[in-house]
Amino acid sequence: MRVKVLSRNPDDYVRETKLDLQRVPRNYDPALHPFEVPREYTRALNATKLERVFAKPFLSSLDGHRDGVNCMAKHPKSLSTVLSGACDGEVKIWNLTKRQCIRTIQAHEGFVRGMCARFCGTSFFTVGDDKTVKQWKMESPEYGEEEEPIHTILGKTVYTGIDHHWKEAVFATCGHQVDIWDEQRTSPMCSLTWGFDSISSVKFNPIETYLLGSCASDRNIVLYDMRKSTPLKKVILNMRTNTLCWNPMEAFIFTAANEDYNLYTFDMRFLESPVMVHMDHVSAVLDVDYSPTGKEFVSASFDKSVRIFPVDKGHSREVYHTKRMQHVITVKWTSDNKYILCGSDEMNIRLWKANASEKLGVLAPREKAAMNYNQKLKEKFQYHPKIRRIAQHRHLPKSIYCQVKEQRIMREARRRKELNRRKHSKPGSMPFVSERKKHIVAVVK
Amino acid sequence: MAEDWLGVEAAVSASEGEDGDEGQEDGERRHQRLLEAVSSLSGRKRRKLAERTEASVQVSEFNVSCKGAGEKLVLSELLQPIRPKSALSSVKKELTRVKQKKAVELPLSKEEAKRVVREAAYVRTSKDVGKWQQVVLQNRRAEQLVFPLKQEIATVVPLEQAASAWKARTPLEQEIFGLLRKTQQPITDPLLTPEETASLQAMSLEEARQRRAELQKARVVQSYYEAKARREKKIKSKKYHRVLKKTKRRKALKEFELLHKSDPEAALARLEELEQLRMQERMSLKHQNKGKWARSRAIMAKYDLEARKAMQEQLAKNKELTQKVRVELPEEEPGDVPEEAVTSQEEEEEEEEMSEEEALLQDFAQKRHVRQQQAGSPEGRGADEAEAVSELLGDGPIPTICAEEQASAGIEQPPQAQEEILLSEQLGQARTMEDVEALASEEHGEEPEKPAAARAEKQVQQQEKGRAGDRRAKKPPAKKKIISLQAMLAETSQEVQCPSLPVVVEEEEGGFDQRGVITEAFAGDDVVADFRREKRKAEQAAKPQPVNLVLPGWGEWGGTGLKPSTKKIKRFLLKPPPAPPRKDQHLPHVIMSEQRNIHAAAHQVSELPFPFERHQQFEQSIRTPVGPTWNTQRAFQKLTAPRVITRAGHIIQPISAEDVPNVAPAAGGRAKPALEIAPKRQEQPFRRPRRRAR
Repeated sequence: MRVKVLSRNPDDYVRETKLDLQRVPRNYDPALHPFEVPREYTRALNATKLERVFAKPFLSSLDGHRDGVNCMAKHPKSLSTVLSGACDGEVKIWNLTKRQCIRTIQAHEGFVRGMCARFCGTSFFTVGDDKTVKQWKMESPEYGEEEEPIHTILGKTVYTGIDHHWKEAVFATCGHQVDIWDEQRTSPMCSLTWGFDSISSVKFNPIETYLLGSCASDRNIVLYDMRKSTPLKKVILNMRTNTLCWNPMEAFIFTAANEDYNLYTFDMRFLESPVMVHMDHVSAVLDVDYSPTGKEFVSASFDKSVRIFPVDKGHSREVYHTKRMQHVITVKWTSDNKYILCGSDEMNIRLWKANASEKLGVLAPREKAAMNYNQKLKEKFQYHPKIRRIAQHRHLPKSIYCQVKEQRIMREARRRKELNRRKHSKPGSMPFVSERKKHIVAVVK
Repeated sequence: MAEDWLGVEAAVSASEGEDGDEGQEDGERRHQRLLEAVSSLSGRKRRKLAERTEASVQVSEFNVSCKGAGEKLVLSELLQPIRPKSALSSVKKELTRVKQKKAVELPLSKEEAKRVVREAAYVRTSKDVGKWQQVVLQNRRAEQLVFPLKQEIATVVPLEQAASAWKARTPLEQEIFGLLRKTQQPITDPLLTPEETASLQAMSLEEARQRRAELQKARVVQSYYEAKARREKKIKSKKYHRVLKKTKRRKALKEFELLHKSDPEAALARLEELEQLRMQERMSLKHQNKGKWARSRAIMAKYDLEARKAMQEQLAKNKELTQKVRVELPEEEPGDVPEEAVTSQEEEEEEEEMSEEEALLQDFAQKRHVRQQQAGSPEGRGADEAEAVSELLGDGPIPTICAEEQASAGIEQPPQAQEEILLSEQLGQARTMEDVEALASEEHGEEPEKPAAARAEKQVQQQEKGRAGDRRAKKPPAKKKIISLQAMLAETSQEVQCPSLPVVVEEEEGGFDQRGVITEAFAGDDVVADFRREKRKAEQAAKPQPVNLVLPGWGEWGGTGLKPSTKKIKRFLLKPPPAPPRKDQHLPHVIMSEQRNIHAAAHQVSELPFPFERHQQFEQSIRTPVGPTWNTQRAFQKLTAPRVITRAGHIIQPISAEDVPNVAPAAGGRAKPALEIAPKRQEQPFRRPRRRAR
């Protein structure tokens, strides 16, 4: 007699080793999995809530400076090394993995105004209030050796900023004018001037390395071309620009941190109006640094907070603050796009995660998949009001919160006034000026 | 470049010096003087400005105080003293030429000049920078970006390179090395040749894949041909092989003739080969009835007709092969006329034969085809079998004749021939259609003209008709006596194309007033009734529907054609409570929709978000699930791929020209960039259009 039985191929359901995952046959028939949208919505909501729950961006504080931290520099070759200069002329080199200071140099008398590392990472430059430019070795001196700079350049005026060329042995300082120096010479290769005012910051373009941007206290931003040793164009804004930073992935884009609480992203080819006005700070913005991916930037402000802006958005996606953090003077985004460092008035350097709720360390593949899925869901449902409310909610210190409110009221009042004026004046006599154009006074050729 | 720097430097220092002189205090000045003295000590030469002692009206920049400062110098005055001397004629000429020239324009002021330089530099720089435009846009739009952009390609380090640094230290190692050396083992033999390393680096994955695909295809084709050859070889029918061989020979001969016409030299060479063959044949005993087989046949020949025939065939073959081939040279045309006639006759015969052969081959092919079809489609087996049987029984030649006819018809009318090719696949019907066509062609005579031409002619006619309606009476060409289907079809289509223009014109000429037009336009509309209908529909739609919870098969028999019992239906068809009265109950001219749910609205998106253009788009994006519950693993991974991927512990360098292949290296901007984009106004990438959603 022949008996028919159900038979299955064991290959379909038996694991090769017990470490393999169990095979789970799945039926993707949509009829079996109803309510896709509501279920995904719930998942998105949970993901958003969890993101807020796990948002603990603060990692550590590096203390050791005896005065406010005035400037910082990234090591171009080592992720764990960061340099900082303080208001008492002290320069410290930090190891981020150990979160320790590994070297201290009394570099200048008075402030360390600016510092930058050479592109190869073997040495770094500092400028100070004592009218000197000093070049230092990156390695600490051997036992018994004295801590001395490799070169010292005595200048006539105070230098307020320094930046190194990205490929050549050339650096630029700023003060009364922008000087471009050869590393081997004690006098500048060329000096670029346009107008007479103290220039607060100068930055080399990281992509088209012959380009320079500077901002001066007469409210202008000036671009220079090193090849022709000539200034190119000048934009005058409503208020002073403190620093600027070039986008490391988009050669013609730079962002300027302004005194009027805003940041302006410019396309250097069209300076008539900024590409984007980033507003959220409630006090002067003191420093800005791009993420190495060029998609976001971080800004430090006098309002004791650090904010992260997407390049293409007008408002920040994140604000970092702590109770003890005072006016943030300098900020840096590390070259692996993972962390943010900010140096503030109260002598501390703080290390933050760039992505507040990110889990640090190695992720299992399933964890990674879950993270990606959650991210996607958050993106998909980001426009839904309930989800947006949770995703956008940030606790702010009272001072900033009140300021924000106040500013909103002020802005509203201004808007209302303009509206009324327009209503009571001859049609066409009060033209509408877009937010972007409002802050530009003039473009000088 | 260096000189430029120097020049600028000098200028700067000079200007600084002047500044110092102008308005400083006494001490400053003294200090300045001291500095100058020091700098002069350093040996650096400076042009000393001559000190001015006298006050004069104007001082030139070269410190020459001139008396007649205001007066103009006239060239003729200069010319006067040299007039008498002929030796100075050349000078004079030059001076006169100078006189004719116009004065040079004033140089621009310093500020102006600087501005011009700046503008030029700005234009150039923005152009240089503009070459990144494409890259930037591409990166902004990219679905996924992986940082760092420069991915290192892992290459295999050759062993000898890795081993070169290593040296034998311990005695055991030294011993082994000694042994190896003794046996002259190639230790540093390049395990990877330079070419291999190059190919390792150069061959990309894409290329490799392509190459593999090519190889695969070639292999497939080869195997296909092999299979075909094997199949044909397997055919046992002698007749088939004989026919095949013969056709091959014919073909070769034909080719030879062609070759003879096109390339006589190559033909000669071919002939030589043939000659060689002939010689071989003459030498061999193959076809001379002397083999084993031939002898056995010879015994049989007495009684068996077929055996005799075979022997004779063999002999004929021998004769044919040993026959000398005559060489026809093109010069000998006039002398060869009779021969040619003979050959032509022969050729005719051959052609007949050939056609027969072809017919035979076709027959074979058809049989095979039928067999394959039978094997392939079990459904249509019955019908096919019948045909196959009929063919086998002996109506084979008929389709071949048909085929001939087809060929002959094809020469005359190409479109019809195409049709026939299509039809020939279905044997039974082909014949009947053909017969019909043949009949038609017989009747038509010279009728079969190309349909395309006919259509064109028609169009022309139609146009004429459109222009002057009166000419409609004009008769169509007398040629068309027999109505063909194609012509009919063409005509009907043309009829539709014919415009009714003159009618409209007439109406316009008649004149009318606005109101009349409107009433006429909305003549059929009854707005009030429509509205009433609409409202009724809305009321109906808003009524709560009964909920059907009837599950067939539960508690009773189920299956196709069985309906659940009425009792069950009564029990499980839930009637909802009546809806509250509508708000527009007493408002006859109003429809108030109660669709919007305020409680749900708080959770819904009220405004169309930025990247979406239409609300359908947005809804679609929400409706498609991304989770693993609804998507396969692979799709899920693709859908949830992050926009930016960074690797932990890797430094992300700024983008450079090496990362992007199509941006030329910006070596001082001197090299012309491969892709140059004029700095036109950038389309606003960040703008957020505000549009309301439903």
